[in-house]
Amino acid sequence: MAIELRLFAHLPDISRSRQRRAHVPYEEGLTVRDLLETEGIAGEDLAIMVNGMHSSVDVPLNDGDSVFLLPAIAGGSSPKQ
Amino acid sequence: MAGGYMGRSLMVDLSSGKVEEFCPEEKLLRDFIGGYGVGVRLLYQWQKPGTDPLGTDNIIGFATGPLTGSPALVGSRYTVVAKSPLTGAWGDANSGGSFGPRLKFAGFDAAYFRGISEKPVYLLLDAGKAELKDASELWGTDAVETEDRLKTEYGKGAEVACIGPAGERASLISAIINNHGRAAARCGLGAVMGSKRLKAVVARGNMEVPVADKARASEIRAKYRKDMSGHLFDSFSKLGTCGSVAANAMRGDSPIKNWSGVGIRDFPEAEAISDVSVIKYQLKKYACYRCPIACGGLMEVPGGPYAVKTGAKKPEYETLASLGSLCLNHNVESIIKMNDMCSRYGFDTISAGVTIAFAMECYEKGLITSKDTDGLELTWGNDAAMVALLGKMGRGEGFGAVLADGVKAASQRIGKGSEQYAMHSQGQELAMHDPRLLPSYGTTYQAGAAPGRHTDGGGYLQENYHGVRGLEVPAHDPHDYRGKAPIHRTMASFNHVINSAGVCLFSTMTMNANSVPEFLGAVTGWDYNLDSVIEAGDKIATMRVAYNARDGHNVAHWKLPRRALVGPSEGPLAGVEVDNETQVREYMELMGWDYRTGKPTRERLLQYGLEDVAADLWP
Repeated sequence: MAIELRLFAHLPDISRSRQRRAHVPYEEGLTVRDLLETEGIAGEDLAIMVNGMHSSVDVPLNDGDSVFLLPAIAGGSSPKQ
Repeated sequence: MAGGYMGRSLMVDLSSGKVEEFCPEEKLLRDFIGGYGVGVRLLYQWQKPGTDPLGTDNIIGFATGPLTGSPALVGSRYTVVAKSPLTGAWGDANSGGSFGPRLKFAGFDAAYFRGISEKPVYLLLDAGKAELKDASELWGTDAVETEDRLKTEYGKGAEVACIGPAGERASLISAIINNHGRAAARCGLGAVMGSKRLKAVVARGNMEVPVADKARASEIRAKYRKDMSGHLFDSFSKLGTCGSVAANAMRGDSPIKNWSGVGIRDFPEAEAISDVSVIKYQLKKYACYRCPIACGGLMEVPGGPYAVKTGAKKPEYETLASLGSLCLNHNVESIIKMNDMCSRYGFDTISAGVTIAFAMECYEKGLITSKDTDGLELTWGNDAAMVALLGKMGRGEGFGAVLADGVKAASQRIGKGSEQYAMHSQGQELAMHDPRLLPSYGTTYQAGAAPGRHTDGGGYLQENYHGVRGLEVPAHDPHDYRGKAPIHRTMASFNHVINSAGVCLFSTMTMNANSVPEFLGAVTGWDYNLDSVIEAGDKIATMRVAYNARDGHNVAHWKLPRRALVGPSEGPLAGVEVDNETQVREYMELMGWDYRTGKPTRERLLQYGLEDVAADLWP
């Protein structure tokens, strides 16, 4: 298993992997912040979705999670659940 | 006369053929800026309550702002104003390209029309002269060909705003088209032109827009040109608005499956109609007048069932969402084709997509069958059926005629409880942003004088978390529905001035807000700062509400469909329930609009120097 990572809009152009979809090996304690730093986009204004729900950078990921990174142009705040 | 204004406007009586010149007084220009700001003040004075939007007494105006065609960055816009036949309330629609600046270079700030012509006509504005011309041979011609034929006659430097066959038939979702696909699309104002037999306005000339302080204006342009940067600028410049289609579908900003779906579950194919999937059909970029962003594009689909000629305009986000995500259509070539069809027929792509999505849901629910749809199987995502149906709407034939006046009229014609699937506010189809994710869209969709729009501004600019640089508003949880009114007021009123000044909305996303008062000051010679700009926006917003209130409209009663406010059972919007009543009520109270009657209060009207309006509304 691994983390499925998807980058939207212009993010592939400014990321290290230059990929729209990637599979990142899972490690204990991995967070979205780690993925952002690996991709070199930690300073970007992004929205984050994990498994189809709004999330944040420091939530620990689980093996098999799907992470969407969406640039701020997409807009949107996290609705209260 | 202050800089930025040509000092000449026209009133054309199409019934008599008489063309009269006038110049609004300086105070009116200073208070209401231009565009729909000046337009709503004038139409309020000129029209009586109860005016039939498609009758002889409706007045339609093509109005620029002081920054249109000026040295200001992104000063490319003009606004069409009239009472809307789609909503029965105030109507305006805004477009870029190069028609607005050329209207100024032809020597005029605005051209208004009343009456109904006996035969089809167009108005030629040519270097300070105005003449009504016979358009009989153009009647029936699509909007792209109409522009080409008029440019053949008057030269490439001429610019044309015109209607296509949809407007000629007074379709309530018809648009006014310039530059082959830039559209003053909302509020059904193409139908007002059609009802008057006004086919086009042609502008030609190279007259200079006066600028109060040219050196200062150049200096500001250079300063803010350097300021135009960051990921939003880069994204708009590289991709245009199509860059956000897939992301918005995933996170819940784009409505899916007629607002009943969840993007990640129902439309996983969204990337097929987004960013690079669209750009691969782009032959070259297209920019409005002197715009460094150049978000537009010229497209080609060389072959296949959805072939379009070279030069068709790139579909915008709103179009890709309404004719794509909303209908579960992931065939991008079909959307490029339908975008071009809408440019030619002269349809609002948002309204067309929302109406088709409504028909698809009616088909799914069994309220209509293929016997009703001329044999078309309106299943979700059936791109071939969508293209065929749009063609029928454009020609006004068969089932297309049922849909050609938008979703409210279609639901009334179909009946059978279909109104619950008709996604509109006061008759206008909702734009492609979801209040359940960005709740302040709910305020704008309901309380905007021209409802259902995504371009009227409001708190969603902050909720969209990029905000507007230089426009300081307090942080606020978007889903805490109390206490948001000051944020909404600041951003909506600022937005009204941008629209009225003739500047593109993308200025808010790529430049510091102070660019607006600085450009206004240098161009007009009047003093502006952010506070005075927002106060001017307050007056414009209030005048639009007063126009509606005199006709008996109260926005407190313009309720949004439940689906736009209550989240589905799963997905990123699950559990959301937007308290739009609180958002709207608090905004109205802050603006001085009486929640019970919908009227601006007497005190607020007098504060703005609108004594005549106060006397009308509070006799």
